[in-house]
Amino acid sequence: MSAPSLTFDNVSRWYGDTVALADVSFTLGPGVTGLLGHNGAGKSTALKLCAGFTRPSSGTVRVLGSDLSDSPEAYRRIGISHDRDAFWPFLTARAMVALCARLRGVADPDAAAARALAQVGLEDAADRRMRGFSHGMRQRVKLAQALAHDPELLLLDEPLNGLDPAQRRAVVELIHRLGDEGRTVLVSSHVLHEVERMAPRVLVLVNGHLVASGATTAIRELIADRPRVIRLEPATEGRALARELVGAGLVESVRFDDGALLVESGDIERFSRALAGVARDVGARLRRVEPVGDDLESVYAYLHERARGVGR
Amino acid sequence: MSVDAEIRDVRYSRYEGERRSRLAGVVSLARWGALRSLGARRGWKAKAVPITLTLLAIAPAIIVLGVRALFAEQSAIDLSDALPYSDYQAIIGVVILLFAAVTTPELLCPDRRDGTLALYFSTAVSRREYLAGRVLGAVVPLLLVTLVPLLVLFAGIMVFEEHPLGYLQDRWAELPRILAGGLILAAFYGLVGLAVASLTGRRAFAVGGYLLLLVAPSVVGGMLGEALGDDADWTQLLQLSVLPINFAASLFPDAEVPNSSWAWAAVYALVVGAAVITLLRRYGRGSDT
Amino acid sequence: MIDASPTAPAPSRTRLIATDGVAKRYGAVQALDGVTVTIDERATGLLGANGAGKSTLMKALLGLVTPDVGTVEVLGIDAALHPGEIRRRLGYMPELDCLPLDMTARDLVVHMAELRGLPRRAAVLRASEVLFQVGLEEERSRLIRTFSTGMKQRTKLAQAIVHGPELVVLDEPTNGLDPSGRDEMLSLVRRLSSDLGIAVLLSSHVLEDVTRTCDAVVVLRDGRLVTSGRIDEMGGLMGEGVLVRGSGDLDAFAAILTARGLVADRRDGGVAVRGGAGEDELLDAVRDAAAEAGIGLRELRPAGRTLEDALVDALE
Repeated sequence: MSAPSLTFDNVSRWYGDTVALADVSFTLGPGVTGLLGHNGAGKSTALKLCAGFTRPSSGTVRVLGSDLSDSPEAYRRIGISHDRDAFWPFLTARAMVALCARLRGVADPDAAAARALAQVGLEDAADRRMRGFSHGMRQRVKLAQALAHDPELLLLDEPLNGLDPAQRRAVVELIHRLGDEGRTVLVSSHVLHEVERMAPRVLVLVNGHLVASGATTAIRELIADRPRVIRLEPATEGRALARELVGAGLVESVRFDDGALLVESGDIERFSRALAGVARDVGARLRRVEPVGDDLESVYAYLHERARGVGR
Repeated sequence: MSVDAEIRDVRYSRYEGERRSRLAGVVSLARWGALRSLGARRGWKAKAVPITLTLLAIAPAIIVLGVRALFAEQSAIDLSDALPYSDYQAIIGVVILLFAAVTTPELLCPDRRDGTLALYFSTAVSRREYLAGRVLGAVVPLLLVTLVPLLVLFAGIMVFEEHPLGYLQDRWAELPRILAGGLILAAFYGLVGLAVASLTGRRAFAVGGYLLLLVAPSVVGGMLGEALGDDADWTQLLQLSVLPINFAASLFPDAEVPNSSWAWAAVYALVVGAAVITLLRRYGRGSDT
Repeated sequence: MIDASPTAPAPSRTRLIATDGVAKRYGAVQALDGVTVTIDERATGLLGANGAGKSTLMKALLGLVTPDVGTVEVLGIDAALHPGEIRRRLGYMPELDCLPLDMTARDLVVHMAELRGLPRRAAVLRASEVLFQVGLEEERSRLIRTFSTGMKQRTKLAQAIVHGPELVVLDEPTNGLDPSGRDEMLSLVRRLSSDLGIAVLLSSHVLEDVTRTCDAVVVLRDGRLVTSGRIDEMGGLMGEGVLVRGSGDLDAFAAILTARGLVADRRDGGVAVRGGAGEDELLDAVRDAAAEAGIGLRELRPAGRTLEDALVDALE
């Protein structure tokens, strides 16, 4: 991999007696990565470290190949959209974004602002004062000012907050595109099925520790101690199919759920290869075959629970 | 065949019981507001100030009664004239002022600051009911310092008389006077306090603003009175911090009070009226933050 | 229209909410434009883009806003005549921060119950029950100031249901919650309508919230009703064929299907198959081709629009 955009090396950060991050190490390259974790897991601290707003108590953070405290011009290559509102109500959206672009040394701030505002769908409202903006609009202004200077690294904290379904979809696609363009994007969000759509890779924090990193599907494969659950919807011969699957030793358990079959299998490859043949032999018509628990939401829940051990 | 065991469903169920009138809601607002202002659930520090002030307010009565108890044979004190009610209120005027300053902001400021007004008005109470409840919650605790001390004094005197029941028969007319005086004061200090508190979500500002509003004109009035000499009784009308005390005294003449009752009544009505209007406007639609 | 007195029990009916031609204008903006809808399902989702009229409609349902035209009836009560009574009967969980920080959860819920007419003893009893239902039994004596976002949201929900309402209106209940918090809240919301017998009207920007907890949706766009109806009657149809994902020789699989006269394209990391005389024939052909090509059948689902696609399209 070419020089990674972001490296955490045994980073710990504590505030007095509170440990926000404990011994976190990872590297990020181009593409979109999701930053996941419960409230208080250390996500905001991690983002602050990436942005250079604070320094690690121990360990090193290297952003775009350098230590931010040594080379402040690297800030120009980072775009940040925080959780908190930081804007002046008397400015127009265009003025705000252009100002931020100018501060980062963009050659033509007005053009950059116009482009960024168009990307987030605010061209029509660009010349209105931000005082009257809804939460969703302010959110998009934040995103625009993070994009205006064409940064290599983007740090986005809950960028979908306050947006309606159509706007959410648009921003998810935008972020997806930004990743395809070769930028490094780190997105923090609680709505996991949306993270799944934008980010092929994730970092999962639990209580200040990094419990998993990498591609979601690969993480899933690594979780070997859980059998895979598959949901089958046979339009016909459901019971016969169930009997055959059990009889052939392809599944460890079968459960009926409202007309569908939920099966557990320890050897997913063997099961899936045999499934079509078995269905054909008993004359079962398969309407649907759906792996359950492969999605990011289930993977996350599993990791979280496992980190807790015996919990509440 | 009879069944030997029983499983009961204790889960949530629809409420089928009695539903009380809207007045009960108003009382609930008064009660919780008053409790909060007196320091409920906020630790001993929050309770200390109202308790201390209440004790200070009752102290003069205790002292007078104590003297009577200890030294009555030596001196010929006629208790009933020892401490006329208007003088009593004048003495503890500062205590009453501070009590109101400390308690009234608690009734309105936290709701405005925490956004709870939106919760109330979008669920169970109307704006008028909310105000009514909070006014009640301000005025009733104030009676602790405007009314209770005088009742303690009255009751104490009665106890020490040779013929308590006779005393009561002779002097029963003082009771309505005590009550009226107590209410006149409580209404004034409470409503003005609430009016100031309604202007802000921050308690510190409310306390400071209230004290400033009542003390500044009093200082000005006092200075003008000094400067202009004996003819300027009207300057006493400016002394807002003791206005209700003088008003009550003018209605029940057991002490010399300049200016006619009408003059006092007019200024009282003006101030209280302004307070009420402020409250109605601050809790009308569109001013919830 | 039923005349509601404060102490009468709620009359039973199947219609929870009914509006007729409701319109409301704010200056130059027509917030609602002739909305006529009947809501009678156990759990209904209210969807709409920002500015589509969702919050105006909710305010109208709560009787906080009087429409210029049209009628609103909630639980059989006319919002124009007895708005306060509607608010008393309904449960409402507001979106924004609104809890008094200096009260304990239990005090707040008792107080809100009293405000809705419950006598003190009943209020205390039910507050305790309801705090248990939402999972706050250990934290109920703590000041709300000390609560996390999740606990605050649950407290808001508790005060909304303490008086046993027939219908509760939830405004963005998963706001600010982390993934496990979202999961728990959505389960709780589902239980409201499925176990506790309380009808739900849920407004949310996250479609998953609605698809997971609701039986029906009402969709607004530009102040008008775009669609309303049961979720299981919308979206996810077979009309556009199926998508197959799996391991092994997917090209051979596609070839077998093509030879049978169906259309099979490599797409989305799998094979999209269309055609055939009907759904049955299509499914059988896919199954048989999979068996023949010896592929590992990992996923098989309709290739067409999902429910979420349908809803988003309706919103725009």
